[in-house]
Amino acid sequence: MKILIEGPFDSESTINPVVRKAFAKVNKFLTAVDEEAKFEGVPDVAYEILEKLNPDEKKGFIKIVKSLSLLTAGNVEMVRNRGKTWNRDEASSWKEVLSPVSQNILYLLDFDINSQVTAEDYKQASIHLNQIAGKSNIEFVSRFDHPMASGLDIDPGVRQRSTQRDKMRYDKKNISILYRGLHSLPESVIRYMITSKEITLPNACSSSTDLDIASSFAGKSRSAFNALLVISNPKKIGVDARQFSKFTNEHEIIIKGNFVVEAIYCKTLQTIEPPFINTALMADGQKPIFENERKKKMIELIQLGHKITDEHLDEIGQFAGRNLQKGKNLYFIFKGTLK
Amino acid sequence: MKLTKTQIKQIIKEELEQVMNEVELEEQEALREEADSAAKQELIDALSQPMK
Repeated sequence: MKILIEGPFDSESTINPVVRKAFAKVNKFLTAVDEEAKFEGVPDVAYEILEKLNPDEKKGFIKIVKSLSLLTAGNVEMVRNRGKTWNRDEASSWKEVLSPVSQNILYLLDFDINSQVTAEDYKQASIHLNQIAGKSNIEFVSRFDHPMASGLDIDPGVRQRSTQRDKMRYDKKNISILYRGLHSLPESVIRYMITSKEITLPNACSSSTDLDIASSFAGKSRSAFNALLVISNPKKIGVDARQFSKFTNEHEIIIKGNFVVEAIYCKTLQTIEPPFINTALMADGQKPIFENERKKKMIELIQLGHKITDEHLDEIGQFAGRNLQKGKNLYFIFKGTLK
Repeated sequence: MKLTKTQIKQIIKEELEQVMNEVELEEQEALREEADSAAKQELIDALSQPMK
């Protein structure tokens, strides 16, 4: 039986800046907290940050954690269909969906974690993620944003230099590159990807800061074509689910937007080596196919099937073919920028 | 300028061939657009899946 519980509709299109900063701070400073301590209760650093929020900001914080938890550990299909397939008999409680740290934090923020996840919750999560996943929601946090650092008497020069170093590290490393694996892709889809200058990343698409997670997922099935998106994210678009998700080892960032393809690489599926090593072909992602011989060659290869055969090696030629291993799958890597 | 019957036939034949080619190209284009649209949707569905 489908039951949709009507609830208040929140038309906010962006996260309240105070909530966004608090979310970024909790995310950043929780990385330094022992896993065991996260299970025991709300870590002090998170407590200090969250206690400064007003009631509306606390509601905003709860909403983000609920939305990302439903996508990462709830029923993804129901997030997509806005709770239309929700069933009261099969509904789970929030406690089952939330990670231990999210449970502790939401409990602190006066949310009843024993309550049931409703169809309305899925609907709200879908709407909310659609609004926030495509925005630059991942903020820079310096070491001086730590609640315990507020009373420290630090030389302004030292403070400035340290903040600059933190910022450089953040710009260079923190979610600047994301990875997304794909497997079981039919020929039509891989052909579409090769010929497209832009790939639409749908409402709340999962990506990871960890190459191994995306590569393993890409190699999960070898029954059709495999691909990996290497996504440069200079605008820091997305919602950082790494500390709040039930599956913290997935290092998940929820994103949405247009992936502009800059280069396409074709190689043998080998999930344990770096993506741009031992490539057989490289094509400019922006050059149209009619003036792009390498894209044409890739299309010719996919027409011969996803498993590398002598025909593939004949087609690609001896020189480029030295990096293709017969009997293994073709692997396409798309390098580009999220806009 | 006077045209012979054969020349007129030839001109008509060429024009007809050109029109037929254009129609064929348009049909191919429409088919490709349809295939692209289906592939795009399939890709969106694949990207909607979590990496689990």
